[in-house]
Order: sequence, then structure tokens, then C-alpha cells
Amino acid sequence: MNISFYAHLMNRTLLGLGLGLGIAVQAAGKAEEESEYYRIITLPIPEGVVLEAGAIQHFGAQRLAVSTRLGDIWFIDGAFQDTPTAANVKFTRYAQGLHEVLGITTKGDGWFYATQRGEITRLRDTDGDDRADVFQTYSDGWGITGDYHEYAFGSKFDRDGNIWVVLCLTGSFTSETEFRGWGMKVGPDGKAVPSVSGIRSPGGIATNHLGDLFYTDNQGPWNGTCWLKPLKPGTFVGNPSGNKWYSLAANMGPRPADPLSNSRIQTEWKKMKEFVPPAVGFPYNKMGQSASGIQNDGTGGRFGPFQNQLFVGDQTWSTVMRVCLEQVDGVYQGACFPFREGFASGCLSLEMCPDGSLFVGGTDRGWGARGGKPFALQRLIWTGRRPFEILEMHVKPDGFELTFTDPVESTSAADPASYQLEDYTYLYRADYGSPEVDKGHPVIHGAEVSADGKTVRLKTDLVSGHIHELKLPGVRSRDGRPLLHPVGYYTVNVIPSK
Amino acid sequence: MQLPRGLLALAGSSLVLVAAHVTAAGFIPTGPLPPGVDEGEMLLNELNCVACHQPGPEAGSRFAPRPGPVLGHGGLRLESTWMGSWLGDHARAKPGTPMPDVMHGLDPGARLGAVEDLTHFLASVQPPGPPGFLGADKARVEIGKERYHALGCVACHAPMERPDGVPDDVWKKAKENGAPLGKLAEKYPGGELVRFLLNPVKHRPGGRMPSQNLTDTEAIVIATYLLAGQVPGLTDGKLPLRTIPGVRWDYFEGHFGKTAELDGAKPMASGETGDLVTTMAKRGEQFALKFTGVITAPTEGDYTFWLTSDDGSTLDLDGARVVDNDGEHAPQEKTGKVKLKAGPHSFDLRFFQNGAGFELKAGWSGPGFTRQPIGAAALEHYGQPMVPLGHQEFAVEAVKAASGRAWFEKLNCAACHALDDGLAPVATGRKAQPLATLAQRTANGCLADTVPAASPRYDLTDTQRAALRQTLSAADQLSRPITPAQEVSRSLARFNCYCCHARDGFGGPALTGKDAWFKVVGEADLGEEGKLPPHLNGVGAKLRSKWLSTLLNEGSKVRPYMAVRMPVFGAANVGHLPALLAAADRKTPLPPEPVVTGRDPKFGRKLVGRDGLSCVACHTFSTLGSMGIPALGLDHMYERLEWDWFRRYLPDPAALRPGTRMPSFWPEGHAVNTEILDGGTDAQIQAIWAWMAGGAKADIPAGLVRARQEILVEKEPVIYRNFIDGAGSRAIGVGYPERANIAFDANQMRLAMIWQGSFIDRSRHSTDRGVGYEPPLGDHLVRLPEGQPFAVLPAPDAPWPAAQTRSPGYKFLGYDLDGSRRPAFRYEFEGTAVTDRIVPKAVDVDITLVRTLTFSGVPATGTLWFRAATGDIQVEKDGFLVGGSVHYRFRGAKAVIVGRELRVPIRAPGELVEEINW
Repeated sequence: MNISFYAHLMNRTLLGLGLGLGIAVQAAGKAEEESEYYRIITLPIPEGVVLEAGAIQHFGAQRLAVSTRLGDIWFIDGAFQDTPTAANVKFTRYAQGLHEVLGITTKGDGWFYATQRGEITRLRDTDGDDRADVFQTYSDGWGITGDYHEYAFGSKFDRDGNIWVVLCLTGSFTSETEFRGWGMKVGPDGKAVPSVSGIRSPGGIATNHLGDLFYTDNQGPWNGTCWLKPLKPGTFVGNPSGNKWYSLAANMGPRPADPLSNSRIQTEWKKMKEFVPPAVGFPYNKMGQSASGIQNDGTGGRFGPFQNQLFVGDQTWSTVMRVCLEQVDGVYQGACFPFREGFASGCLSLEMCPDGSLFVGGTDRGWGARGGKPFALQRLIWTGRRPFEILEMHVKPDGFELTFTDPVESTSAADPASYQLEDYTYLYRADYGSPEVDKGHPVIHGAEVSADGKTVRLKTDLVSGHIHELKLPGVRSRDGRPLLHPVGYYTVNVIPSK
Repeated sequence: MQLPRGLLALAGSSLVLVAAHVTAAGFIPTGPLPPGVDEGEMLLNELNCVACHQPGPEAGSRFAPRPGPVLGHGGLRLESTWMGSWLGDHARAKPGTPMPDVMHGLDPGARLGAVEDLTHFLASVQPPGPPGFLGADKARVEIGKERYHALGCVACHAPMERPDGVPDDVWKKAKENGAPLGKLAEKYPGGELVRFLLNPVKHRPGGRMPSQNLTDTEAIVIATYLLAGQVPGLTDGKLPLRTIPGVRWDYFEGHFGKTAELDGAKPMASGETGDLVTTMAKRGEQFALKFTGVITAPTEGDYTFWLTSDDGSTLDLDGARVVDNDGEHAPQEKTGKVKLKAGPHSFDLRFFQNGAGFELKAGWSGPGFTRQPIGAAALEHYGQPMVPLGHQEFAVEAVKAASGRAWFEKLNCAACHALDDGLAPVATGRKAQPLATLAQRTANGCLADTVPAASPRYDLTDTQRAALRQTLSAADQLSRPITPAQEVSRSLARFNCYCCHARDGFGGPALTGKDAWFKVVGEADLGEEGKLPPHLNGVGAKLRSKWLSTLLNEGSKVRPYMAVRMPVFGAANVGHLPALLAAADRKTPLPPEPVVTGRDPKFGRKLVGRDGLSCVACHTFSTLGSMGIPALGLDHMYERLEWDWFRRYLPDPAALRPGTRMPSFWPEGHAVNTEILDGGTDAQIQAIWAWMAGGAKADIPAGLVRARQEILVEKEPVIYRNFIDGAGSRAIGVGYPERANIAFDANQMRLAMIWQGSFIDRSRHSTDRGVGYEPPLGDHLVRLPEGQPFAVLPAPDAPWPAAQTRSPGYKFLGYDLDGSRRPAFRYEFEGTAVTDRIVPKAVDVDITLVRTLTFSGVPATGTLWFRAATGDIQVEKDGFLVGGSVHYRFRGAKAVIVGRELRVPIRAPGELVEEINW
């Protein structure tokens, strides 16, 4: 008998018995409090414009190009105003008739690069009327059967001038044509090079402050929850449905053996040299239900205290989450935190602008969202007031190091009872999703507060391969405030040796 | 936390061993039972001990009748050979059967005689007439295999197929874990198994084999699959072909323009049907059906046949076309007259459907009868009947049958088996010692280590015997009162509900490792809740008792995405459950439903709809699909659910259904929509409840009715890149102000379709998830040749390269818009660059496309050809007429006709102007 398998079953059973015992950690009903620090400004959308924003690109003098699921690209002028109105915001239809554009970018040379389902199109306006008239197929090196699930999300240019396209599987479970379930690196010559296998259902793709590429992948087969995953050429990121295309990807080497189903990521990762484990898990029904667009805050403080951190949308919950990453032994991992809720539609596309505006585009077509509006474009700005938040969460050999945006009150912060820690992981399996399994409740042996009150070292026993859910109900700032979001979820792939 | 029996938690870790063996239906229960259910008592019930051992008044209510299969006129026509072997040694034929051996005390010779007499008797009382037959069909075996494993049969019975990714240990356990099927191939003539599967509770009133609400077709394919072992004996040609009622049908998918295209096509599914219906079609577009067999003309004379169809249909009798309603068209009726001799004539009716609605009606009239549908009575086909293995013709001998009836009475068979043979009822025979007196007799009778001749001998394990002894010997055991919760547990165990449903931490498919066989229908992204039946924690307080009764009595279809079905056990067996569940789960009276105001439904509708919380993004409503996944219908909610459960569920769905994909719209009690009803959580939930009270008659919420969204082409051309039916996954539709439209296929690099009038409806792609291919609107649609448009050919009449999904050697480069915003497509073909500029010219309704193909570069070797059209081609003044209605003219080259193809030689660099007038 495979004992670990029955352990999974038992965990499920226990889950069933434990109904109602868990405390729902939802940063819910927070929108009003959050708005003191980060304000949402809703852009008016002209009657008749269906702005299901699939991707956003700022360009020129505070202009936006917004591509939509219905295939339009709109130029928007006036989007950066404090009180945008129908009179002072102008929409110009730059292009129409494209196929579900989920990626748009530009180098500022007049060419836009739009990722449609079937191709990346390079387009420009040659006669100065803000309407594109040249549509060049930049790259179409992948297959498409006509299944609705076959989305293609395109990145901005990476540091080497590549656009990356992450290709959704055909349906939830299979790869019926070339490179469904792959990340394609499209070089300046337009050639699409199959570079990463193991993708299921992306929701967004972008680089962090170091220029390393990440994408979000959604709960489903081989994804126990939604993840932020690194995209590094030559690697495999978890879902083997598309691995048959290794046969067409000589650059990738031989096809690796498929991972075992009903295992754990940590177990299979150790067996497979190509495997890169997900960097951060967004626990299902705790952080959200469908992770989407990604943007790094590289604005040098214009967006508040979270510089060089990633902001990630959640479509179902109409939220933006925050991610703080680090590398341990060359492996990305880190924590996610609730950040801002209350967006009007299902958050899909994010665009951080140099002035510290984070534009959030929404749609709830086909996938319901809390926001309730069929589509929306909103701008999130920092009010200048600093929230009391966990700033960063780092793993140490014997626990975690937390830094805060404001100094903590040392008595409460030094008391282990101010913290609650739980660890768990998900089944890694061909089936859809997973309950939380292998739960543990590590004891917090101690909490050391630094003299400046900005740092706390938590001493505890870590479990590699587990998400560590840390709640901080007892921590207060020196002026007595509780944390705006007293919870963080750190995904431990590797426990550092020192 | 109390752990269920059989689950052993190892201290300090989450490592747990589960001895997984849930009670299986239909045979002696084994393995762990839910907490509070005593194994001995369970056995007393399942072995129907109380049929002979009268329980006292207190214990009596603890037992439910557990009758055996019905025999006699109301039974099934089983193979006599099998009956003999079954009566001879049924424990070997079906290990674990609850049927005891009542003849073990006879000496071997007497036993043989008794078995023979009983066989004659049981054969004599079977329903009159021959057994129902089933034609052998390999395709059906395949479909039956899929159905058997998907519908829920394997929840109780062992699976016979291993899904991908199931580990060895899980597979091994699943195979061993199931109610045995016995030797079906020896027992059942095919048609009898179909009859049984369609109504198992009628034939086995104990309800341990419930009805799965199978359709006729499902019962046929599952029976064929289960009896597949009967087929090899049929393939040696020794058994004659015989006619079987109904016609054979073959189902095809794909695009068909003529019924003749079905020749040689490979069917996706096949079967037999009495009536000429289209219900076997798996989708509403792009499919075809072929019905073949024999039609019997009652008398010689003139017959008229009618076909009404959308799209095409044809009828051939004896190989000759009788009705020609071929080609793509809206519903239209065609007739044909034919003189037929009395007797059988070969019958071949074909039908195909491409886009939009479809319909097929077939009728006939003849001497002495007026127009009527061609029905089952007139149709037959030849096939190989499935015949039980070891089948022997059997003639009942009256003397033996009479003796058998005496044995039946003597052996007390009627204690368990209802028998209807039209004669006086068989006495149920002697009663054994009352149950209450058995405490002192637990080593006697049926429970003795060596069972005496006069007692039935059960196939018990030592553990089971011990459990029975223990239960019987504890004097107060059977008179102790039990709680409703315990009563629920034992009912759920008796009917093996636990193989699908967990309740209070016990059971569910994961417990037997069979969850891998539970599937979701199609592609509903619902995770586990899409395929695993719901848990039953507190279900007596969740569901209204009336709804529980309905679903227990009739099954339930509220989860259409779930492949496994809620079976029907029969009111006599589970009719008590709703009241029992209510007693167990409603510790205190439920709070009253909210008092709603007249305006509440209006706000509820708003909240549910597109402009509120968009519940309809996932939930269906009545016959209207949701905008995304097919989550449970909103029209059933009020009828199903108790208000108290609903009000607790909505603010935190995951608390009551862990892992659900349903998000909360009132997280921590705060409404995310602060506009409707001022964001009041209670007010919003009450309003939704009030709207749902309207059931299917409630006002339809916004977002569910997909209206046509025609893309209007006004002053300048409009482009539509999407999945266009007929132009592939990289289609580029262009609607021109001249009321001409084209679709370019950027996979095959061809002009795929041209049509006139309205351009295209985008609603398919702009609502919901945008699933599927959209056909053109408008009229006068012309499809141009599939496959690559240009080819280097070794000879002008060499065959054209076969079409591929993406034309090899071609590269799409995009398009430029001219000053009128008309696109000129650009692509490459092996070194030749092509610019493909299309300009419509309209004179009133007469439209010409002027297509200028400019070639640069040089083809590799040989002559480059352009294939402009395929079809019936006639030369006409200045050009060619194709298909009777499309005129082609060329400037810059001279076109030639090659068979049914119009080919044009190309010079590169150079230019070709093609004019298409239609």
C-alpha cells in the first residue's frame, strides 16, 4: 500500500471533518481602509466601447494603448488626470478586428506589438491619423485549433529584446496542436523558439526588477492552486500535457519523463533537472481564485514603499495582490500578501507607469468576478500615506525575517503569541486543483525585534515545499495600529543553509 | 476529533492508514462501516435473516425488507443453462452473493435432480415469448465501455479500464473493490440485460442495484459492453444472421455538402434505433447520420416517401435513389414515388447538418395507408444476435416443472423471492426461531461452524460470523433505541451511498480510491466539485424535504456537468430518508424564511444578473446556459434549498463546501456591491432569495440571452479576425461597404469564402467565453478550394497537393490597409512573395470581386499554378462558370480546366487579375 497516497485521502477526510474550524483569512471589507493609502480612480468609458482590457501599454506623453478581448486597440488620452471625465478623456480606435489581444507593447518607435491568439502582429500608423494601417505578422510559430481555451498572453520586451508568449493548453487538460502549454521566446527576428514547457492556463506575464520573467498559472490540472512561476529558457514548470512537443524543440533537449501524479511538487522537482518549482503560491480561496496580470514597481517610490516588488491581479476576487521575491540557492521563492481590493471588474491586465500609476484593466466575461462590472479600466495611485504593512518577508535557516513599513511596538512584536503559523502544500496531480494537504502547525520559538523596530526575526521550524501561512494578529506599530493586512503566505522551496 | 472506524491516525503526524473498503451493494457487506453502524446488525439486514427469524416489535423497526430478485412473469428471461449452473453452485458463480445455499443438505444425486426440476420450473414461469435480442456491434462496445465507466456503475462495481495516470496500487484496489457482476455473458440474452438495466428496481426490488435513469441507447451500449464476451462465438459464422428490429445508425462528424460524402467516412458512433431520430447527434452542427437496414412493404403497390430536412437528406431503396433532398439548405420537403413488391427492401437514409438549426422527418404512404412517419414497425436490419455463452435450446418438461415448484416451496425460496406464475401463491414456508431467541443459539443453525442440513448455508467469512454472533448474543443490542443520525448512517451504508457521498467525514469516492473514475462532462472548469458528488454533511438541513424526496425518487439532473448520476433506489427503499435526514440534521427548528417585499425580486434579479454580481457568469437558468461554466441552475435553488442554509452559504461558500470555485460576494459579511440595496448583506441575500422563489418563471436576469450582434459594415471595410466556420482558426473576415464579404484563411493562405449581404454575427465570440467557430451571415456563400492555393506541379494535370491544416512552405506576412481601409494580404510561398488585393465592385446587387495577385521572386523549379475553383466548370464567354452560379474571368494568364478544377499558370514576377462575379 502506498502510504503517502492514503495520507492524502486522510487529509481530505480531515478537511471534511474540520468544516468551519478554519478561520477564513480574507482581507475582506478592507477597501475603505485601503483607500486611505491607495486610491482607485475609475476611467469613464464612452458609450459603445467594450473595453475588456486584455493588455495595457503606456507610451508617449501619458498616453495609453489598451487592447481588448474583442480585438480593438484603443488609444486613451487623459487617463492620468485626477478627475477624469467623459469630456477630458479621449478614446481613439487605433486598430480593430484583431483576435483577443492579450499582450501589447512598444519600443516607442511607432510600432506596436500586439499578441493575438494566433500571432504577434507588428502594427503602425503611417499617415498620422492615430489609426494603424500596416499589420505585419511578426511571429505565428504555434498552433491553434479553435478551442476557446487557447489563449496567448504576450509579454513586454525583455532585456534582450524578446517578446515572450505563454500559450494556454487546448481546453483544461490537453495540448492538441504545436506548443500549447509552452512559453515561446520570440526574438527580434520574429522567430518563435519553444523555450519553456509545463504551462497550463496563464493569466499574465512580466519581468521583475532584475529582468527575470514570471507568469501566473491558474489552479487546475497539476496546479493545486494559482502560482507565480519563473520562465527560464530550457525549463519545465509543472504541467506535462504539452511535453509531447519536445519532439519539435531540439533546443530543449530530450523530453523529460513525466512527473508522477498525486505526488508533491517538491518530490517531483528533485527528480527532474528541468523542473523549476513555482516561486509563489496564491492559496486558493484565501488570496484569490484566479491570478492574472503582473507588474513590477520600478517607479523609485512613486507607488509607495514597495519598490521592486511585484503586483499581481486576481480576476475572480477583483483584487491586486503583492509579491516579494528572493532567490535561495538560485531558486526563486517568496511571499504574497493581500494589497488592494474593490476593483470594479475581474482584474486581468496591469500596467505600471513611471509616475506611479498602476492601471488595472478588468473583464468578467466567461469568468465571474466580485467586482460585478462587465469591464473596467481603473488607475490605482498611492495617496502618499504609508500603510502599516509587512514590507518584506525573507526565509532564514531557522525561520523568517520580517521587515515592516513602520517600526513595530516591541512588546507585542517580541511575543510569539502575536503570531500564528500554519504550513501546508497541495497535491501535485493530473486532476483539477487540490485541497491543502500535509498540514502542520510549527511552533514559533521566539521573535526578536531589532532596535529600530523595523525587523523581526521569527524562529521556527520550516518545511520545504510548503506554503507557510503567517498571521500576525498581535503585532502593532509603535503608534498602536494593527497591520493593514496581518497575513502573508511564504512558499518555501529551499531552506537556506545559512 | 473523532476518527471513523477503520481510520488509524498515527500520533504526531498527518500520516494515516486507511483500510479502505466501503460496503458494496448487492453482496454481503465487508469492511469498515460508518461510526455507529454495527456490522452484525448490518448483516442481519442484508442477508434478510428477518425473513425467517421473526424480529420482536422493538427490533422490527430496525430492519428493512431486503427482497431478492423477482421471479416469474414479472422477471427476466434468463439463460436456462446458466440457471442450472447457478442453482448448482452460486457461491462459486458469484462469490459474496447474499443468496444462501439451501440444498447443501441434499445428497449429490438428489441435489442434481432438484436443480434440474427448479430450472424447469423457473424456465416455465418466465415471461412468455422469446428473450429480447441485441445485435453484436464493436462500436457499441466502445461506447458502452465509456458509459459504464462514466455514469457511475464503477462507483459500486469494479472498473475494468484504467484512466491515465492512475497509480498501480490505486488501480489494483479499485479492481478488487466492487460488487461482483457474476457471469453475465452466460446469464443474459442481451435484450434481457437491457430490460434489467432500464428498470433494475423492478426486477430487484431491494434497490441495492439502483436505476441510473439510463436512456434506451445507454442501456443497449452498456449491455453490449458487459456481454461482449458473447461476441467471439458469433464471429465463426456458424450462427445465422437474423433480422433485428429497428435500423442501424452511424453517426459522423465533419462538414458534409452531399450525402454521398458519407461513403467510406468513418462513423464516430453506431447503434440501432426503432425510430428515425437525430437524438444520437452529439452536437448541433457539422454532423451526419446514416440509417441502414430493411424496410418491409406490406403489400405490392405504389409508395410515396417524404423527406423534410435541414440540411440535406437522401433515401435509397434497393440501391436506387427514391428521394433527393441533398445539399445544404433550410428546411424543405421533397418526395419520391416508387413501386415496391411486398416484402423487404434495402433501406439507406442519410442526413447531414452543417450550421444553424436542423431537422429530419421521414414519412411514407402506400396501398391502404396514408402518410405517416416511417416507424419502428416497418424497419429491421440484419445483425448477429448476442447469445449467452453455453446457450442451449431448452424445452420445459411439465412434470419436472411441477416438481420444481414443489422444491421451490419446500426450500422456502419464497421467503426472499417474489414469484408470480399465475398459480396460487407459493407458501413462504416455515418460520425459523424468532430473532430474540437467537442469543442462546449463536452456534446453531445458519451460524453453526458446520451448518446443519435443514438450515441455509451462507458464504460467510469468520469475521462476519463472529460479528453476527456478537450482535445476536448481546441481549439488549437490538432493542436499544437508535438516533436518527445512526439510522441515516445505516441507510446510507445499506445502499452504498458512501461510495459516492461523504458524510461527517466518512465515505466519498476518495475512500475507495475510485475518485479517478469520476469525470466531469465536457470541459466545465469546476475542479473536484464538478465531478465528485456533493458531501452530505447536514444535507437534511440544506435541502428541502420535498426536494430530497424528488431526487431520491426520480434522480437529479441539477448538476449536468457531473458525469456520474444520482441513481434511483425506489421509494420503498429510501422513501423514509427525507424525514430521517431532517430529524438527524435539524437539531433545532430552522428559522423562518424572510418576509420579502414586492420589490425584493427586482433587486434580486439585478444582483444575479450581468449588471449586479453576475452570478449568471457561472450559473445556468432554466434552459439558458450561463456565460461560462454550467454551474447549478438558479431556477432550482429555491425549490431545492432551505433558506437557513442559503443564508449561511452565500457569505462564505468555501466553509460549507471546501474547495468550491464559488467566490464569496460578501466576504466577512461585507457586500462587494455597495450600490444595490445600499450594500446591505442581509438585504441583498434576501433579495436574491426572493427572486429565486420565482423558479424557472422568475424574470430572466441580464446577460443570459445572447442576442445577435451583427457587425454592421457602413462606410469603410471592417475586419474580423477570429474562429470563422469555413476559414479556420486564423481566419480574417472582411466586410466591405459594397455588401460583399470575404474570409481569408491565414493557415492555408487562401481566400476561403465569399458571400454577400450581412457580414457576420459576433455574439458567439463576444459573449461567454467565446466558444466555437462562427459561420458567415448573409447569403450566396461560395466556398473556395481548401488547401494551398499555389503549387509547383510536375505536369498541368498532376494531382493537387492534399490540404493540410497549415499549408506547408507558406508564410503569412500580414496586411496593409489602403486609403479606403481595404486590406491587401501579403504572404510568401517558397521564395515567391504574393500581394493579394481584393476590391469589390458593385452594380446594384451584381457584385464582382476584383482580385489582383502580384507575384515577386521566382518559384524554385517548374511551373507555378493557382487553383482558382473546384466544381462543375463550364466555359463561357470570356471566362468560366463554376457550380452554375459563379463566374470567373482572368487577366494576365490563361486558365485551364483539369477535371473538376480550374487552374491558372502563374508567372513570377508578374500579376494576375481574377474577377469573381456571383
